[in-house]
Amino acid sequence: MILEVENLDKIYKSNGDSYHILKDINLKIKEGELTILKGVSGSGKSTLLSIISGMEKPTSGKVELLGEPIAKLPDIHISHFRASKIGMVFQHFNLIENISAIDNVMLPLVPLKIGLKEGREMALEALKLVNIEHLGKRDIKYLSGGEKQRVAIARAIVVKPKVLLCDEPTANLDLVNSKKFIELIERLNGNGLTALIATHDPIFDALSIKNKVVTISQGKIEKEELKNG
Amino acid sequence: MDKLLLNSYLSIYIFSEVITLILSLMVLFITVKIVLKWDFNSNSKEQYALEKSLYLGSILALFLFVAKLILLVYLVYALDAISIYIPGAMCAAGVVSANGYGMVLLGVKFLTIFMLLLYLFLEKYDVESKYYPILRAREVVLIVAIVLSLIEVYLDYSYFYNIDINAPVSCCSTLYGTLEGQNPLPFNLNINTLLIVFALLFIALISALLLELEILTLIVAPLFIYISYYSVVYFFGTYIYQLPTHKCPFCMMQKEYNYIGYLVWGTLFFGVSLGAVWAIVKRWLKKDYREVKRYAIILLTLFVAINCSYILIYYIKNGVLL
Amino acid sequence: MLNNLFLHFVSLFFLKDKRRYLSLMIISTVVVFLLSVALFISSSIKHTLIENLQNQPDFIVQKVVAGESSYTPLSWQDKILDIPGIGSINARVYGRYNLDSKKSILIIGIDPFDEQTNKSLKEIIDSIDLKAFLKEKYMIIGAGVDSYLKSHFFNDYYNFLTPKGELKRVKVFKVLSPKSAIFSNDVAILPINLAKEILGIKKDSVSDFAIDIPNSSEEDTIKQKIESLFFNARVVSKRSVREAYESLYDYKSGIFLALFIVVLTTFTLILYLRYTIATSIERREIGIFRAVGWSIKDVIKLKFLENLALVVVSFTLGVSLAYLYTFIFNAPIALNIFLDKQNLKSFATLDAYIEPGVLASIFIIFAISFLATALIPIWKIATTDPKEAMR
Repeated sequence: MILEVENLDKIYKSNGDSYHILKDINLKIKEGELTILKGVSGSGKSTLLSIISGMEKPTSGKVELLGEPIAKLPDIHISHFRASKIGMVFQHFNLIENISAIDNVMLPLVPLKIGLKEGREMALEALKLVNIEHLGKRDIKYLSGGEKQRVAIARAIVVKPKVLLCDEPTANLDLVNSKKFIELIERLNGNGLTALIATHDPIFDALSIKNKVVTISQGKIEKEELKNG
Repeated sequence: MDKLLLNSYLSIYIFSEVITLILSLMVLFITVKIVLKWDFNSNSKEQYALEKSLYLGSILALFLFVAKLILLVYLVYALDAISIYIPGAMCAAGVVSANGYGMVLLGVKFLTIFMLLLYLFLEKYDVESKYYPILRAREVVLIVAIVLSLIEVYLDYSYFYNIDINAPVSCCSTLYGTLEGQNPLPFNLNINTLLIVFALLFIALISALLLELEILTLIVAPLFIYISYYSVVYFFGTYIYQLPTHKCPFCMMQKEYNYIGYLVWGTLFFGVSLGAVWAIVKRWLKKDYREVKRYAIILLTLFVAINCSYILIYYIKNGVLL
Repeated sequence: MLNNLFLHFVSLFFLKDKRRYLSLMIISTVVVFLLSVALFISSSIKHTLIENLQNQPDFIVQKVVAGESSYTPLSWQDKILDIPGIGSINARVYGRYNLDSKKSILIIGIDPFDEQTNKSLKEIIDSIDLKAFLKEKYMIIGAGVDSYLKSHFFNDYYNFLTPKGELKRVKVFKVLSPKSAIFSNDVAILPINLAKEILGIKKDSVSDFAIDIPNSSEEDTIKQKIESLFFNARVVSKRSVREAYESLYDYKSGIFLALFIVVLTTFTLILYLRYTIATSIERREIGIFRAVGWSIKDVIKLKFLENLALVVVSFTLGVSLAYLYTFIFNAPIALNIFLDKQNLKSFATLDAYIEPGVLASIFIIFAISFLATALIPIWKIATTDPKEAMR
């Protein structure tokens, strides 16, 4: 089992009001699965992703990623875990604009104490996988939206993670680039990468490969269904 | 006092000590709070804030360690520089002994630095293992270090406030010279027996490290520092100065002797300290920091090698021993 | 470049974020520059004075009348010479002469055939043609005196007025070069008898005696013996003069340092404010680092090293600029604060000498206060929740 979420609750408190963002979430993902987390914005899917990646702490409940209780680990261990086992792709790409694509892709290698030379090779390989190795030396600010998204994916897969987490990956892409993204995900998943994609984009309804769709609404999981199975 | 305060070295030293004092108080505040309120199982906001302040505590501790070390070296240099004002003093030895606080101040400084060093390694161990197994213990070590550094600032004040620049002090030859019929060495040793004890303790310490006998290391380490101090002042030092009557722990830190004293005392202090840190971590935390042990052995060997090389050089130059 | 990815990013961000650091670097450099100039000047002057002091006699003996030094009878010379342990004794004649109500010069009388104990005087005398010098009423003057005379239309002579009311016309024999002019700037060197006449010293008196003692451990005994020989003798030792110099320049740099600490405190406050208000770009960057797996420690390390680089760069820049300003351009303006502006324009050039402790001092006071100030903001920004930071 790659991921196990049990009885997860998340409550935000601010100015005396409390917001129940996630209510009693239970979710299991097996190795090699492609899971689509569907829901409108504000449904809590983004928060769930942050908790799974260890960037946020749950109010209560258990999150086990690859057998590690991710919410309970001290920062240095979560970070190291995130760097070595999880790849993340964000809606706004979250790339550093004034440095080159290859430097961006090398960022997750820093906490893993990888040498500069090996790091360069790994980054080039990842850029090759997403077909933009020719843009490696260019600064991010000179790239188009689609190219940026590819750099972001290259960064997410550079350490060969066990699981890929994507948060609204197509929200800032046009139709052509969204389709390209889906092709890429299908290819990576075909190579055995486990992926969890949070989205409200209907384009994911038309996936050609086997996938699990989990619908989330107002902080609760409404239904789970298998497609192309 | 006021005349000394205008010396630029001393005013810079005191200003820097005040900065470290402010940081120390901050660390103390954070650390005490952590010791009292830490609850790793809690998901509360307070605990989350404590986890964050843990990082502030450790980065400040690291900064204090480096700053205290630099300031110790700087203080010794400054004391040497102001020896001109104090009648009778020819080097830092006279200035340090201008009143009873000087030597205690230096001792507490070394102790503070050692405690901070120990803390840094405990922190490294604690962070590397999951779930902070020795959190409270290491924070207590940090509190001890910080309390020591507060005592240090008090001693700074007492020491400088009580220096009377008009009262003559003794120079090192009076302080460390052998007065008739009086043996300055501990345990009634003479130079020969002192050297034998020195050699035996060195061998014992290195073997204890190599054979991983932690308790023995911890017993021998302070003895070795103690005996080394006397051996350097009363025997090895005379070869550094090339003068059988010149016995002083401070003059060797002057330019005339290529500042070698800093290296002599530095290798001794860090060799022994790292050895002790390794032994503590190995014995009670069952973690073997091999690198630390290796550095301890290298530094201790270097310490002995430097001292012996002066004897060798003297012998080659002059064909005789002192 | 080292095969270290972390250092690769430290240098990358340090170079890429130049604009972010530029203003800070300029202020830091100025702060280091100010302190360096002050300490360089005082340490260089102190060094020159002490070097000069090496040429001075171990003791100076003067007669004291009513608590003030007065002219010393020549007859003391033989009595002092009888004390065992004395190497040499030299009778000296000197005194200040007021050119007008504001300017005065130092007249030094020399007996060219006597052995000179003062090295710089000896050099001057060795370099001239003695016969020519003694032929008429001649003097050797410092550059400062020269420029005063020229500006008062005395092109190559000056009329001194003796206490007896006679005018002595003394011609300029030579002008000393202004290099290292701390001692020779406002002097006029005259033959001893002429100097006595102008200064109004009786034939059987001198200003004081300079005494050399080969064995320094006998200094205290000899001092006591001289004092017991003449009830009205004052004995000044070289060591006490050295102490006076040291404390004078310590006093000057101490006052400066006190002011500087106020400046530094203001600077650190600015620094603290500057860092606490992290830019949104910076916050976002740190959020990204954290999201891709950097730990809080990694981020702190990166930011700390960036600041350390900033400290090292501004330290190097500030110190180098101060070196240029002080020793190459001879510290215009600043020098006047440190050099006692004697009545004549100072021409002194500074010896390029820096105590090693001075550099350490500048680095310690600057680096410790800078980094101590930066630590808390660094920690604060590093521990921001990544999600919040990326927003």
